[in-house]
Amino acid sequence: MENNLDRVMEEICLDPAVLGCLFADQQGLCIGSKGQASNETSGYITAIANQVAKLEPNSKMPVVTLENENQICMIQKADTITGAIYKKL
Amino acid sequence: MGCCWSLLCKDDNSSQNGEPNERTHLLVDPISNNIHIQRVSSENLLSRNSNDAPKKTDEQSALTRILQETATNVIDVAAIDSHNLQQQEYIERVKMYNIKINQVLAGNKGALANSLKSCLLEDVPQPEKILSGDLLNREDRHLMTSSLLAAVSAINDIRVDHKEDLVVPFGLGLNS
Amino acid sequence: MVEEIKKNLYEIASKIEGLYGITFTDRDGVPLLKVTSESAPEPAIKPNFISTFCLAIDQGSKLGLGKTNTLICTYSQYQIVQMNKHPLVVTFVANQQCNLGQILALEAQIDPIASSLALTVTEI
Repeated sequence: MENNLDRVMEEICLDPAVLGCLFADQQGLCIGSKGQASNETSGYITAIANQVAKLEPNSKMPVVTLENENQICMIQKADTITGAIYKKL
Repeated sequence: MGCCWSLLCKDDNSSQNGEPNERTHLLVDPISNNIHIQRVSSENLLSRNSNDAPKKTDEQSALTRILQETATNVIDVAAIDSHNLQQQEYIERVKMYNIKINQVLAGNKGALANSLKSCLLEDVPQPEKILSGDLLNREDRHLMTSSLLAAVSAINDIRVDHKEDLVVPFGLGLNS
Repeated sequence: MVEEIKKNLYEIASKIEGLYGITFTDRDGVPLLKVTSESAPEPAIKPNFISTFCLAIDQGSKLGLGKTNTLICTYSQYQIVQMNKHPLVVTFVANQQCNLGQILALEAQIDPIASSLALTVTEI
């Protein structure tokens, strides 16, 4: 059923710099997560993507980056799905 | 025909004080979730059998126990009956809680005040260092976009695998 | 102190788009603390609606999956999230588009409030 998604997530995590990834639906509910990504954050990730999308409603969906000293979190939305990838700096 | 339990039996039982007759129920009502009725009927059963051998009483209590356990383990949708609170009781409880809340909260004010947070993010020391950093590089951007596209198509592929019947015939063959 | 908690809850609720209210009630649906906006649907914060949750989770515990933590009901216009904070029930009322994940993530933030309010009910 979700084998394809599992495979995609595994491929993303193959990159040694990637710490984890997460995908959430329109309702902010976690569809899948792998690595150092807590499924409790899916709501916040969706909320961030939705809020940022309002800044430029007519342009393409932006990639949002949250950054601290040692890692970054990239967030992007496509259709109803929001994705996040955590990466080492 | 045998009658396991009917509401009419209840009054007859109490008047005849547990004497077994054709109307006394043989089994304790397993469906009713009403513990009160159940307890009364099990006591009736026990008192009725008090003259019998002690072994029989054991059997009866074991049966009662099994029936009670079944009743607590079975999800009986029909027996779920919401009891509505009386208006008067509701108002009284609201008043009581209002008074109590103030007392309780005044008691552990210190502990609670620290835990009232409305912001999740915290300040970063030297934000200018991060703000002046490089923008997201092309590879990362590509990683994000391509991964998301792959994930979206994978998610759209999610279907329920139909493996077995959702509705299972239950108890058929017993009657035949 | 009650006002401070209400203010805090209001701040939290206002950050989630489409969240109409948060109520802390006992198992019979009697409210202890209520933060609701005007657009909250009246039936969803009535005691008999909330107390049905308790009946449902009591039965749900028989499914063999352990204690019920959260119940999400999605209706055509509203979404209701109820959390079991024994002896309390926390009910979130939101519209259809609301971010449920964000409401579920609020659990950590409302836990200290729920545990303080729980003392009110147990002391009686």
